[in-house]
Amino acid sequence: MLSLALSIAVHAPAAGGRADDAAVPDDASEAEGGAETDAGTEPRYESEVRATRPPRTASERRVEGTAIETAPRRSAEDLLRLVPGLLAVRHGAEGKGRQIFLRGFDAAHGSDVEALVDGFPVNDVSNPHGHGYLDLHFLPPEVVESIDVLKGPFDLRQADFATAGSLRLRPGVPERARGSAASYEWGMTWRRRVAVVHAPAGWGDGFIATEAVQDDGYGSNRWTRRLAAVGRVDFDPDGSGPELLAAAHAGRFGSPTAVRAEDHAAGRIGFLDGYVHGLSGLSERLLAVATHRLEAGDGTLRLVGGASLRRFAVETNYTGWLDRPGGGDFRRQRHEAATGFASAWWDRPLGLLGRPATLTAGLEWRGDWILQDEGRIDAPSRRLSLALADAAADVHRTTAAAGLSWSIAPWFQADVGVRVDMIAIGYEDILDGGREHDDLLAAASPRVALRFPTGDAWTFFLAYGRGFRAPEARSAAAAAAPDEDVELSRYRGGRPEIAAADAVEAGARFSPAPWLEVSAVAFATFIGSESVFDHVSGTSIEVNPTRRIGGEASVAIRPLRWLDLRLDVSGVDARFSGSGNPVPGVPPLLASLGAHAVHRWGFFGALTAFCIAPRPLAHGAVGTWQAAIDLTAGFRWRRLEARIEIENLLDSELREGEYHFASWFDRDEPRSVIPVTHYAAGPPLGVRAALTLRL
Amino acid sequence: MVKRILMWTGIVSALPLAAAVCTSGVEPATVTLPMVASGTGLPGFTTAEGYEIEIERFRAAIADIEFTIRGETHAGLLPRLRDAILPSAKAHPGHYAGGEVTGELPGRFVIDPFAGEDTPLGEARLLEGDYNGANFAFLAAGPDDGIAGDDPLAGRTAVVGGTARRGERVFRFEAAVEMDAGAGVVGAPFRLVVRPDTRATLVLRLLPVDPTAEADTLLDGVEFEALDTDGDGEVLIAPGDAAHNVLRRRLQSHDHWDVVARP
Repeated sequence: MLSLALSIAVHAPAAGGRADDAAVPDDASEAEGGAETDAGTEPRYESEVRATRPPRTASERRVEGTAIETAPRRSAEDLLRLVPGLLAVRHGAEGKGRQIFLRGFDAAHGSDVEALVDGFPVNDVSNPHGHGYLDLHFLPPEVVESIDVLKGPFDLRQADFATAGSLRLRPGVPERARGSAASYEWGMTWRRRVAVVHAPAGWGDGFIATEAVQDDGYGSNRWTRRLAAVGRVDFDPDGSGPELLAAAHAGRFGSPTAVRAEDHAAGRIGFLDGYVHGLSGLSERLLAVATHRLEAGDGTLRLVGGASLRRFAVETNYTGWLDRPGGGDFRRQRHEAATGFASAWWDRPLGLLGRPATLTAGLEWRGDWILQDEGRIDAPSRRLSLALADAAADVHRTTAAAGLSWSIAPWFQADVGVRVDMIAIGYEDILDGGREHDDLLAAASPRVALRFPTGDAWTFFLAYGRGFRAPEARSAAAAAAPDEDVELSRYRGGRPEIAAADAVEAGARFSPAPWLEVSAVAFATFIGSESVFDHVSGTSIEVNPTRRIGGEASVAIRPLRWLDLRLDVSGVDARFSGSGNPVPGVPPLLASLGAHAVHRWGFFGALTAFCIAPRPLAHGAVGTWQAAIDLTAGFRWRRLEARIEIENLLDSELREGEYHFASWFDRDEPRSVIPVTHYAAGPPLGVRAALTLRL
Repeated sequence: MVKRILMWTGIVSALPLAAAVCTSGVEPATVTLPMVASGTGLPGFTTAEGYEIEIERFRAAIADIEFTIRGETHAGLLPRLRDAILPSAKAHPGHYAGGEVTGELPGRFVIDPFAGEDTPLGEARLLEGDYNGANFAFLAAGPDDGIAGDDPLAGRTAVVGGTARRGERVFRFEAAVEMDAGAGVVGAPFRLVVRPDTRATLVLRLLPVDPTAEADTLLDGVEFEALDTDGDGEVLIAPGDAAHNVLRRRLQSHDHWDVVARP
């Protein structure tokens, strides 16, 4: 069965091209419709569908093609908004990772969303700013070829952080866009961006891309500067031989504050303004990933190995002068890490009771060596005034997995398996005289995905899986009790635990014609015990059990050969099981609309819109409806391409993030510890224009 | 068909946009309740060392009372311990917000359980919610608190006086307590469901005897007979004494304070 994602014009890969990620291998390729090839170097505007292996679950998606190509985007992080049901909130400047909401999870900066690039995990383990911190700014958006979206933890290969789901990014340049291109982009916020992509047709999946960005940003202290370069060497352009991906990135960005909603309502502060200025952050990365697929025995062995160096720092002040009326609540968090990763997954086709099956076995290792510190700083000197944490840590995850994919009958296919992960944590508390702590944890995660293709139009799905999130390295130290308080020691976090999320999903896809696909999914996720490290108290605390019940529906239509429409609606009721209180910050309803067009005459464009229903916030507060429309319009003529992107077309006051906590910024007013609603402003109406020369 | 699709797409996308323009957020209701410090005296008690204690004088300087809701940490944690390990709102957008302080009565206060009547402290502001704890800070009393320079409480956090009797021996004691900067009580019991129509007076009480099963007292660990080195029956407890540290630690314990709601 062809897997159709009709909102995206998916184009056939070149000979020898491959869907790289092992989770979505290219079992076959098939072109649908005739290719209309323009002469010379003009791109081919085709309507083709690449068949991948059938999706394991009803919610599995691949985002690629014109959706990525035409979507308004400042960086690769903006492409996450193309993922149905995912909300990526910027409460910092461009250059800082987003806050991600998916399937009822407030994944913070990535704690519940696993992200892989060419199979290499890029979540920061134990980043003090957010466990699982995800930063995709090392990828210029021009070379994000596809994003495979796996919601829920139903796939055997989903690892740490995949409690809400996984994103698998494939850097690359689509076949029809190969060649060389240089772009200059200018934006209203004095944005200047230069991007160069070099991807000759004879390089297979190889390419080189670089970008340089400077932008003052909208509002207060949202400036950004970054340099990024990424490239892949395809050692076997005509086959499935080894590849090497390398990336380098250095970025600096401003660190704005959230705004008290009551201050803005009273006219005391502008919508886009902030209270504290001059704070900043940095993000740097070096990455190298080698992949290779080879025949081994009677099966296929896919190998991934890589290493990265990572540096991150951020200065923040979210609460003004609330905790320290004298010096202010200024903090700095720094994180340096070296990461190694290796995996080997072997797929062996076999016959089982006369039916085709594939036996899968996998081994993985990830090691992180981390240096991190956190402390209060004095403004404006930025000097450390009080160290809150200073540590060296190493975290190792080793995994063994086995599974079976079996076509039991033409109408019944099953994927079953289990993975066992062991987490070893070593933590040296430099503040505590080098006191060393260690911990060893293990988790077994079963995964089951059943598929019932009942004919040409309908396919039904049923899945169960257990996702997990290992604790932060710092939690190993939390098990140590203060000697002076025996009573408290019983509760000082105790032994940190792996958080396990049990998820089920049932759904259906209906595809009666090549131009239409409708899908509906119901899901539920239950977390019985969630260990969260509280950085204020230095304690692992156990959060009450939660459950998330929801549904998703999507309609993808291609009414014209050059136009793709997609409407996605996701609803979730996320609550604490005991009290029934909602999980703060999680949008109960998220709808997104995308229209993407690439016409063979050279016109292209996109309209994307999203809407968020009021979010329940902490302490009974409720947020506001949020909606925005972004637009892209462009034209290609011979070697030139002109592109205009309009952000927030309606210039709505977009509260991308809404939170409820206490702060004290206006020291002419009495100090109060009572929480109030704060918001992180989204972008106002803005225009960016780009000119691209293709060679 | 295509026109119909486009029309419905437009309608579907326009509805939330219209809603977005027309709605605003909701803050939880803020409830104002009067608060007093109990002034009806303290009951006598017997320490673990067997002394029958009658406290006759007690004054303390405190500040910035906060009220906490239970939050969503594990029910297996004793609520007061949860409060103890989560001292304040952890405010980072999107990160786990452990702190649950949602009510306050800011200011400086001198409380006197022997004033003869309750001492008004002010109007506490609380967001609606299910409360289970209260925090406050200790101060060194001074002119800002109406304490004259020659007052025994001046420069001190608390003064305590009374008698301790064991058998035939009677000791009169006076204690002056000094606290470190930043010291306070975290997680004193305060159980009240606050709704917009809640009407009650909040009463801060000193509890000489821990009302839990532990039943320890404010002066457990103080051996008055040993402190009366000259045998005159007068005992002075001052900063630096071991007994002072015992009393200071007891006063900082959430076991010896609570806040109750009086209709």
